[in-house]
Amino acid sequence: MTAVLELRSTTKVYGEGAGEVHALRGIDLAVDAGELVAIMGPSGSGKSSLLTIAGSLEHATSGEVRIDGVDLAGLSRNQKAALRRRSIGFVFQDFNLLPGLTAAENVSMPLELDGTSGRKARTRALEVLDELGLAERAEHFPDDLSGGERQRVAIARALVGEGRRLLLADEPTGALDSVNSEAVMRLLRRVCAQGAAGVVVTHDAQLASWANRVVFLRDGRVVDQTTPAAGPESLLSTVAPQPS
Amino acid sequence: MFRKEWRQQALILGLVTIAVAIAVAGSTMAMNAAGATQPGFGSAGATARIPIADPARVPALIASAEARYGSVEVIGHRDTTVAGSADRLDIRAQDPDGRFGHSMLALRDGRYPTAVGEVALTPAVADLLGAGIGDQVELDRKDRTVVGLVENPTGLGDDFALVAPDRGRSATTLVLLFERPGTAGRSARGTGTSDPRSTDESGLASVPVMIRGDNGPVAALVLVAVASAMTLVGLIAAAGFVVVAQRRQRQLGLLAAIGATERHLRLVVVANGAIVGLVAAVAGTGLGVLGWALATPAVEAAADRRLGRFDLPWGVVLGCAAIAVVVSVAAAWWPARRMARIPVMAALAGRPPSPAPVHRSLLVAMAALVAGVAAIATAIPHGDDVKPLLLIAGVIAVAVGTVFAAPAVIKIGAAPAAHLAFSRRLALRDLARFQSRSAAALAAITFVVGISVTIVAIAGVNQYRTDEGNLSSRQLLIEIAGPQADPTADPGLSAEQSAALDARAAAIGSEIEGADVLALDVARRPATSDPADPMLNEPLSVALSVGDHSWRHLGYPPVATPELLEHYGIDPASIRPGTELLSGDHRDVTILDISRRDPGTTKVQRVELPPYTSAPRWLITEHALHEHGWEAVRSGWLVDADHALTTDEIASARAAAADAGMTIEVRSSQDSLAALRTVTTGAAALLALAILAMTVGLIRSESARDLRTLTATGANSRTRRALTASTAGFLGAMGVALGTAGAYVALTAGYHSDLGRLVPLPWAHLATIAIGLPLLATAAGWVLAGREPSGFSRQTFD
Amino acid sequence: MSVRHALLALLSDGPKYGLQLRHAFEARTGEVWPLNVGQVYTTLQRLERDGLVASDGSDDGPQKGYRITGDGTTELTTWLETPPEMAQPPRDELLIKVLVAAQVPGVDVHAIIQTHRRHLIESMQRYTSVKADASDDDVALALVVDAELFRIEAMVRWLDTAEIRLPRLLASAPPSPAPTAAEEQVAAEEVRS
Ligand SMILES: Nc1ncnc2c1ncn2[C@@H]1O[C@H](COP(=O)(O)OP(=O)(O)OP(=O)(O)O)[C@@H](O)[C@H]1O
Ligand SMILES: [Mg+2]
Repeated sequence: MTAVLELRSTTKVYGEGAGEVHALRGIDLAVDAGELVAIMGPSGSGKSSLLTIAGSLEHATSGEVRIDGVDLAGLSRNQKAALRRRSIGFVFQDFNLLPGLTAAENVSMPLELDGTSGRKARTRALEVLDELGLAERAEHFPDDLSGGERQRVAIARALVGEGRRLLLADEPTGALDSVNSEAVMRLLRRVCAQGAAGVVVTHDAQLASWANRVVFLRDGRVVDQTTPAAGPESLLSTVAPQPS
Repeated sequence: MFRKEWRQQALILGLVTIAVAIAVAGSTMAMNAAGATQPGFGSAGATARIPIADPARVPALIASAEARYGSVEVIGHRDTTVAGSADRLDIRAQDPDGRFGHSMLALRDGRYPTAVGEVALTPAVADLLGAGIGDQVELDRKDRTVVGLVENPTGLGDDFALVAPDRGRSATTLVLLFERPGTAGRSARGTGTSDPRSTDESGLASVPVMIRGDNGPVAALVLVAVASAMTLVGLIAAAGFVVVAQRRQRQLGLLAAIGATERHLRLVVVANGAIVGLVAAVAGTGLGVLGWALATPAVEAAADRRLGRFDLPWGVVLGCAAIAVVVSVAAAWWPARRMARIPVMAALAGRPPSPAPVHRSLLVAMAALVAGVAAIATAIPHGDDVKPLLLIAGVIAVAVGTVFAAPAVIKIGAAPAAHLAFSRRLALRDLARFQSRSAAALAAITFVVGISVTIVAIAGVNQYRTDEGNLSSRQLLIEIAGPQADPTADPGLSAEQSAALDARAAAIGSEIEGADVLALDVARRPATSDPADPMLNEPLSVALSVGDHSWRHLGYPPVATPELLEHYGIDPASIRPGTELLSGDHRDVTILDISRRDPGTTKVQRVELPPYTSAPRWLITEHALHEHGWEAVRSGWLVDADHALTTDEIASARAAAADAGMTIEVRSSQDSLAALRTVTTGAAALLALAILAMTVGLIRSESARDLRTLTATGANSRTRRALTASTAGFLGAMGVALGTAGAYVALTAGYHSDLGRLVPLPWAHLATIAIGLPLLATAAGWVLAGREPSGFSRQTFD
Repeated sequence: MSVRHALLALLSDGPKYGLQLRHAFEARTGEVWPLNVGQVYTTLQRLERDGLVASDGSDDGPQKGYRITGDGTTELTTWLETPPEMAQPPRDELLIKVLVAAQVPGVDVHAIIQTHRRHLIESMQRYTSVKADASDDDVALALVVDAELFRIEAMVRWLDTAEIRLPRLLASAPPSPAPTAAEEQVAAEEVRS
């Protein structure tokens, strides 16, 4: 089985000459279907750059980026846009929703952009919103929603439609309290368990621990990663304190 | 804070600068045009033209004129022939520093003549005589030294030889310039006898005084134009600043969050407005003056008069500049006030201030529109007597009304958003959400469209309808003397000459199929009646009394020959006995006969005569001819065909007439008015597009985050283009609708006494604006938008 | 949490049998903290001896009933309000390891820190998956797991901070004096002997 997302010796350089910034210096990373990967690293280590490149929003300076085996370098702008409409779901930290559209319209946006009829797109959007417990907020505008609700709407949009293969989230819980953050992560984890591949960028170890695998980034390189989690029974042998 | 917004600032600056430049150049041009309405008056309010038979009478005449009219400037004309040529030449004795006439003389080279025996020539006369400065020329059988080259700046075609002023001693015709009687002259009048006419031996009392036409309407139009231009500057600046203020919302919110007071916040924005206003005022004035300076040669050629390149109405120019600054500050202040008042958290989140309730602005709009309509209607009552300030107030009120209607129009227009396709829906929602900035943009576009629709419509009103103009397209007027020739100088024709010309005219007429040739005669006192007064040779004219023994000359009425009466379908039997003048003019006209004590007693009968200005509009009856012993003198022929004349027919008639030393006149085409409409339509479209580009550019660039979200969700460049295009197209369409409606509200008010003049509507031009502008806007939006946003990995703070 | 106080808490809402107490105890602390079953009965005996609980007097074992006494309630309240032991930093060992690593030449402190970080996060992942798999209304389990997660997260954050501070420590530490020739000789002789 090929990985949903695959980066091979991917590099990214911003600017030129003296102002050159090497944001990524050769990243190798594969994310399989059903897997949620968290990316951690200090500020400026290239996490967001990695995510935007994986999401085809920016192109890599060198190296390969494949989504479902397709090399992004070979796609036109329009093909990439279509890929984003159909296969990739993005959740950003804050500029997620269009304030001019209702929650339902925001969620149905990728479908409508893709040519689905307005009514059908709306039905799908309402389904997803319902699933995320936002059914009664569907007609509200983003300005009227709480931060957590907004983020859930954004996730709903990232999920809507069939064939979402890749979920990319950049600090998706930035403005949320820990309970809301946990709800968001729980949601991402569930969605991935159903067959998508997910990548979450975060500073927060607690959130990262929701992932199946945590990848550590430093100065644009992958420096380490956790091995797939062992079962709970191993807990006592590690850090669990002894009962008194 | 300014650095990041240089693009927006530059746009606003550019537009305000252009608006100021247009206002400066336009008002200068209009002011100059206003001065051009009546050549020959200089700065005088009235003029009298007195033929001199006996030079000895001149001093008494002048003294009596001064007693009667106060300060009087005397210009002597002496009509001579040029030796060895058939050309006639006017030797003019005029003071270059004369109180009223100085504007009619300008030195091109050398100096003005000051002594007897010195002369200055206009360039054409110098050519004719083959003389230059320093040469000797023989004029009027006297040798004179040419000391300079001169011209009449108010009539570059005016050719003469200027000699030193001599109080009319050598003149054959005296022209007196003075204030309009009844105004400044009144005090001077008191120094004379209580009834000058009864003691008047000079005959001055019988000389009709020509009153300068009132150019109040023109001045009013200039003011209206300047006021409109300034309103436009204000609207554009406001539209720009609203957007900039909204762009700054977060920064302002941040400032507020760290403790800046409302005053601080306003100061930031207002200072910005002041800077933009100042720079735009200076640059715009410079550009306007430069534009005017560059345009003067072309305008001079067209206007046939010299225009001072730096002879600007400085008051108006400085006014424009000052208003630009004030208006920019106000335009910046208003949104700043709103911005400074929105809650800090909303500002930080970049949320727009919640839209003001639409019904309130709609009420204001209604009130302003009603007031404006009322003001315009009272400012332009039936007739010419325009009240300029009221008119300006009315125009501004209508403009304000349409501006206040803008939010409602946007709200109503955006209502169907939910049922539209994605990008259109989003565009409309954003326009409705950011109500103040889209309303400001809409107002500016509306105003541009309104102005241009008004100009197009007024040009249409002024365009002759088929039954108006100088002549019908079926008619041709053959004139013995050129149309500009001075009838007083007409030596009269001998019988053979007259017969030969009759034959020529008949021949010209016979070239045109189905044409009647009607001889036109003017009435004249017999040359023998008083040999001492050659003025009596002048044909009898029709004049309009303007009060106090003063008349405005209207024209020379032809004699009502049986052929003419028949041609115009007037039954001779229907003419009441004793009638002297048949008039097709609704005004109170009279035959101006200076040999009568009171010329106002003409017996006039109204008849139906077509309102063509060069065809007969009045007829002197044969009864009047017999009664006063006047004689009929041939002046020309009216050729009336059964079809519109073709260009070929006109060309051959013109050639034949020229051969016989005659000229012809045909219906003038008024190409310039048509051109004005087209140019206005185009200019309006361009200006509206510029405003659209600015506002739409600002509105959409403002939602850069939205674009990023869209792109991340998979919108391609088509969606982004469609978004910008729909925004521009919607604003364009709404602007056209609102502007056209507003313009016609104002026009209806202005022409309420004669609404028929507004039809037929200028459909072609209106359609061009109504369809073309939104289409162009949409297309421009489509072409210019679509760039993929960048910087996804960085959170922006804009 | 001491077993003593846990039992007092369980008895505070009504008398229970020994077996009941044992089941409740297991249910609340879950798989995370399984304890020796015998502990329940021995602790109960001790509580009775101290007068904090009273029994119905029947023979020892699962069928014996217990209820809390007035002294027991006082003890429970006092305990609830007493601040937890804070005297000893729990990351003592980690702290020492990192400090030592910074001193031992040839050891990459960053690598050491990263290794610890990875271990810590791996264990967090395990706790989180316990939480993820648990049913939503198992509040007690979630609380226990959260407590562990926050504790480990604190260690991770301490590591993050340490990693930023350490280069400074390394830069400012005086270089350990180079061994003198005499010392080297002594050392060599010691090896030989
Ligand atoms: N558009 C850009 N132009 C120039 N440099 C950029 C751009 N985007 C990112 N960078 C630089 O690339 C480096 C990596 O940035 P990136 O945003 O990927 O870091 P990050 O790991 O997401 O940091 P943070 O946790 O602070 O968000 C940084 O040094 C940043 O300054
Ligand atoms: Mg980042």
